[in-house]
Amino acid sequence: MAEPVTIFPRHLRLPYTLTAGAMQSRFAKAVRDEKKIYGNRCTQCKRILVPPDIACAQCWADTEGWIELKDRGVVKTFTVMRVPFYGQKIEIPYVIAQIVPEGGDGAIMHLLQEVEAEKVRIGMRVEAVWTDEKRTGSLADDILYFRPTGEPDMPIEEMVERGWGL
Amino acid sequence: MADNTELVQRQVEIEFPYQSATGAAVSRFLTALRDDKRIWGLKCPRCQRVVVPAQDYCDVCAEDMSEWVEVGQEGEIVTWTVVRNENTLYPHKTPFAYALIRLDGADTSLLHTVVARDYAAIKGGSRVRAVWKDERTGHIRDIGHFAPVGEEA
Repeated sequence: MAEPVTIFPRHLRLPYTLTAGAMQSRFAKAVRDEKKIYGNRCTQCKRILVPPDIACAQCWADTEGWIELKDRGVVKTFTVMRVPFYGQKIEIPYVIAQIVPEGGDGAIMHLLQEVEAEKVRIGMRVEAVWTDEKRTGSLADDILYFRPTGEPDMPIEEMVERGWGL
Repeated sequence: MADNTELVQRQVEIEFPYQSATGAAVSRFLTALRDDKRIWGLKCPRCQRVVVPAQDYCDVCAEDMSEWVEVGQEGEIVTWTVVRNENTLYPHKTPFAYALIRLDGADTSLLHTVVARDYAAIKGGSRVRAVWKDERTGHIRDIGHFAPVGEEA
């Protein structure tokens, strides 16, 4: 007969249904239906949180407001992915960045494309590239990636002054 | 925020594509399922128990085991639970039962599934028989399920 069995497959699948809470749902619907990113403000440190939260993660203080931000911003920090792994959908090397949307202080994590990994800098100005397909309300799905706008970088000094943890 | 806010839901699937090496005993056990539709255990030289599925060491005595013993295609249900809710990950349409089955000649219980006409009729000691798949790959589910004796078709 055939070769003896030597491998036991353990292919685990965890199919989740994620349900956003009231505030995250409001955020997600604006992303999905209006291509808009909103934040809210910590009543204590006054930082604009993105995505909005019911409390500030640093101060544990309540938040207020509902503030529309731009779908463009500044690279706060980034990493270059050079290692292949199972299920990888993006061609390596690629850049994952924390991006502070204009008008906010919190950062969202997203892919940077249309730029060589070696040319990405902290302070680089970037803008969102949205998709019109299969909108879910998740920034990870509805924004395909961010790309550089070509405008002058935000100086590091300004980022420090804004308290972005640099 | 209003309580009647429409909540956004999203489907996410996380995958863990693991593979394990079977080791010698499980290799032979699974190969026999695939090639011969036979179920083998190993007998512990110390406690004399026949352990099914076969494994390299006795889980009670930690003794090496090497005496192969074929066990029956039939056995009795030791304990069971009936699954009634639907889930795409289940191996069968519901209802079905997960059961510990002590095969004839074995001293341990095998975890497998039972598909029956009447789950209310299942009792401890109910007799079941292996129903084999035609397409076998060397997996414990080469036995498609166990069925109450007389319902194997």
